[in-house]
Amino acid sequence: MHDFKLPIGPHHAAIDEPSCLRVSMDGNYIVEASLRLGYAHKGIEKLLEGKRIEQGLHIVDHICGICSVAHPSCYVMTIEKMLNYEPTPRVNYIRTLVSELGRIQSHIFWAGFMLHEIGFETMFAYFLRDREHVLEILERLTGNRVHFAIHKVKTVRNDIDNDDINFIKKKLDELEKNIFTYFRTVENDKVIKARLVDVGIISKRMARHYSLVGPIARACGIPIDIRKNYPYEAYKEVDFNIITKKDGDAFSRMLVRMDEIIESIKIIKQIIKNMPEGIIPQFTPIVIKDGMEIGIVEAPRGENFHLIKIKDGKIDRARIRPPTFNFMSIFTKLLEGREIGDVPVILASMDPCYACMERVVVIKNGSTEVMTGDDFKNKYI
Amino acid sequence: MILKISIFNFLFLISVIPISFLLEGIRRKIMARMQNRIGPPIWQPFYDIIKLFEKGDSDSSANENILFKIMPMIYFITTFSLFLFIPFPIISFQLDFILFIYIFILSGAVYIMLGVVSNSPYGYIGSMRDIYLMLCYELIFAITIFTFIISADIQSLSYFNESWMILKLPIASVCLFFITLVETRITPYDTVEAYTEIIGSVETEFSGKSLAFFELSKNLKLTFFIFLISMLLFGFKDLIMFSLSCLVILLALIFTEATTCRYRLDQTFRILIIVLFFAVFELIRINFIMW
Repeated sequence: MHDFKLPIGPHHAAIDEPSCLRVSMDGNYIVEASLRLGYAHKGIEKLLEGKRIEQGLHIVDHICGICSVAHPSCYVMTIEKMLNYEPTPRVNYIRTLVSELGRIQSHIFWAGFMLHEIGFETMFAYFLRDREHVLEILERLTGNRVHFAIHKVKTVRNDIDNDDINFIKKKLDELEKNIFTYFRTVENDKVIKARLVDVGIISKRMARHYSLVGPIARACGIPIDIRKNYPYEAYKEVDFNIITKKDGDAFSRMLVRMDEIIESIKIIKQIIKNMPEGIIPQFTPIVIKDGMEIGIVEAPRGENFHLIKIKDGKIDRARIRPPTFNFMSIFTKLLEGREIGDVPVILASMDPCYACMERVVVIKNGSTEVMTGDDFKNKYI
Repeated sequence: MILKISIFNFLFLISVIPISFLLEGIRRKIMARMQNRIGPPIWQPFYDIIKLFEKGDSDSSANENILFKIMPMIYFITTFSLFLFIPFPIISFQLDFILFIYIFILSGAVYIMLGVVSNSPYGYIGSMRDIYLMLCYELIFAITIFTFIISADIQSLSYFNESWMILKLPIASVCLFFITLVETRITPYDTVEAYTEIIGSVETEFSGKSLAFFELSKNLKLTFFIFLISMLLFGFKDLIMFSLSCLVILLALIFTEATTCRYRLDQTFRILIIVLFFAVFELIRINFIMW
């Protein structure tokens, strides 16, 4: 069966979001792969243009259901930089708390999904059961289970009290009890190892070359983490480690994410212990001058970047680059020479989030428009 | 050739289909309980099949092919005819186990044909994977059956009267269990039907009545293997003990499915080669060392 083309997607059991991957196969092995995106494009950047800051926040809240803390957090941080405003410590602590809870729920969901891809349905069900503890905490803190919408410019929407803190402690203990068991299972199970070890290897050099970020880069041995490198919110005041592994394969990515869940639990414990007293400031309408600013935060999948340009008190231009954007360039390369059974494993190990990523590419005269730095400045600045 | 039609054997033969549904229902329920879910009611497979028989044909372009329509029926018939031989034989003659093995392999071959006639890339890949693995597992199945027959020193399956063969032939028993996992598509060896890789492969294009026959055959195959293991390994003649041993085997299969994930094709093949080696070893051993 030489040059046998197999479509994977847009509707396929192995991918959770729509994308069309076409693989050419020689026997059971992949010769080349091409990825086509654009099925989840929502036009977020265009929607943001001409909106007021408060309206913009509402749109940014709804970019993605899994990174639903990272995007508003980054947006609010960018605006506050522009306003030269430093939030009160309590606000920072609450934001950090929600960020870490968001990271835990994203990583747990991912770990379950990864095991579902290799046919381990029981673990998938168990992971989802324990994700419920985190979602219950988030529901109590923010009132929502998917789009938390707790961020506001200069403040947060809800304060937390002692009852909430006791509730978090109780739920975290329950989560911690199980997570270590799962971690040991994943580490020692021979079949999981057989499927994940030496699959989708990215070398350290390659990771730098493709400017990979987040857990994928950390699994290749690059200690890159915005929380440590450019601390924001309350990350300066908490103690945690950057988890790195050397091998750069799917199994290392699994271990990095599992370790990060444990680190996040550690961070949350410190935060609820050292939560500053006081009340959160009231929300006041924002008066903003023209200007442009960038913000970066560490989303569950890596570095999340927002660029916002303000003109006449409204958003003139917004650029959002989520971490998945960096991974997609290397994804098809990793598939070459692998078996068809490895496609879901490699795809899931990257943890792609198309809903965050899909942007329009400007095409002029039938070819893609590529801009130099000067052109970009002329056009957008 | 003897056609043994005792009323009990005949009743058992016609009740095989409801029994297979019941076993499938129990399987789903216990599986769900293990996975912290509530699960469907035990009689859900009956509803599923009735609903599928009421549905129309598929719109697939393969539908013009007559084989696409009749192959699921042939698959069902070949799978069902396996119950003529086990656990309570209706047909028996000298060396009937050769026909039994032949029909078993025929059923596997029809499955491969189903993938080819379905005109779907996933079906092709599923068939390709099955051919690749068949090189090993049908051979292991034949060798294992021969081992049991030679060890029991009989010439027809209807004379099989041994019990607790699992203690006499432990390696062959394990080999038979391996084959069960591969044939009934239970993890870690459900490579042929890998849902998250090739969307169930062969059954992707089927719908309506064809899918109903397909599901029916799948249930029958699971039941067949449970009966076969129960008959060869434990060999209870008492109906209650026989049912209990069937349930124990079903539990073992569910437990395996619930606690493992899937191997890749090459890994499955490598393991089957090792199993083949052990099956041959057991066949040679019973001629020299018996315990």
